Amino acid sequence: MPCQEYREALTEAAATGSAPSRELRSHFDVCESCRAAFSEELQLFAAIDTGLRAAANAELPPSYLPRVRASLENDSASPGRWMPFLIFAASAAIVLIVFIAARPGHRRSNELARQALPAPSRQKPETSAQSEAPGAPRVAASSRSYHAEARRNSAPANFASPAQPEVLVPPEEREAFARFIGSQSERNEVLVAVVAPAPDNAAALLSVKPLEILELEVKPLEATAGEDPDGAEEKQ
Amino acid sequence: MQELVLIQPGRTAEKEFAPEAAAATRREFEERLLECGPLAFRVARGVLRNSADAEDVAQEALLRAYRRFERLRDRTRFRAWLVRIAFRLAIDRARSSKRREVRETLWSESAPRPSTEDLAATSEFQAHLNRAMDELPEKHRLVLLLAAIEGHSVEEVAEMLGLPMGTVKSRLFFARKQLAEKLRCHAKNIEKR
Repeated sequence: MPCQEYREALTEAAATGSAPSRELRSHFDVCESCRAAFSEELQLFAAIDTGLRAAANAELPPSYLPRVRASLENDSASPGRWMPFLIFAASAAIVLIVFIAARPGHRRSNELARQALPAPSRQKPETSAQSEAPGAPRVAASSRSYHAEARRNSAPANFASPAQPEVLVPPEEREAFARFIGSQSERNEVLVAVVAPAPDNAAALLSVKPLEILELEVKPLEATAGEDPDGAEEKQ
Repeated sequence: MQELVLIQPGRTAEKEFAPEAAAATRREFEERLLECGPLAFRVARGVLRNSADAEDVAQEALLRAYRRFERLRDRTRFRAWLVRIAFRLAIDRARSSKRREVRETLWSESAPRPSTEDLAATSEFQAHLNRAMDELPEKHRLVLLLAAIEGHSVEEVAEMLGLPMGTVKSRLFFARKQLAEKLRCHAKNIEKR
């Protein structure tokens, strides 16, 4: 049998570390090169094993176990692994709310609406209404009462402080409303009509006089006979 | 009139025994740490061939194992479970550091060179062996590594990986054969010198 056919068998024997078969051994007795090849293979696998063992069985660093224990302690002591994510989510939500509240379009329309209206009065509505001239628009009082009325009817999200004048206008109509108010600023009477003061007493808006039902009076028909003398004459 | 109160006994019991259960789990894990901690390090070291990185990876593997320890029904499988976590993390770390190395080689003119000590410690054959190991399929590499660590027998490796002994033997054989094919020429070159 040629040597080439023994090569596979000798490599296998060297790789598994098992003893060569009887057939292989008898070949080694007659073939010097195959014996040498087997010896080389054994050396190669021994070198591989030595290298693997050296790489795989490295000394444990002294800091290793204490470090692991410390990390386990930290992990147990920490309030929760999800805490950083929760903090991040909460801060992201706050940033989003602030961004929505302070976005340029929102602010601009609010400012336009405020510019169009006269300066707000910081006084109480009753006082401002009394002190102002009858021709001047009593925006503070009227708008606040309107605001109060609107709050009763609906629940708008972004009200300013109650001391500031407010007019409830849908967001998409704010700009147009502000322009309208601005164009009418010289015509005080129109402005007053637009922001006409609503009565403070909300009940007054809804008050309906109760119906009065008078008692029925039944009258005799004497007067009727007297009224119609012709008829009486006919009877006679 | 009698007042009715809804009592949930389970909740109360849980609250009372929760710290004790946690302490018991911690004690049990501590035992496992002493038993399997070195193995996790060595598996990571076998893949990464760097003690500092291996320490990080093994620590991460143990931390992950600790977090999920209560969910492990069969505690006798802990060793195999930890080995797999450590091996997977080490492979991931090796890949990412390889990518980083490629980037650094591409972009930096002066890549860090190994020190004289490193060169002395790593023989030429060992370097070739390391490279050949990296080229092995993962399943072959893990078997080879575990067999080399702490002199584990084929039976122990099979038990650790939950594989039949025949599978472990054949994987081991093919892995060694592949290594030999790659290293044969280098071994001859070294011998000639």
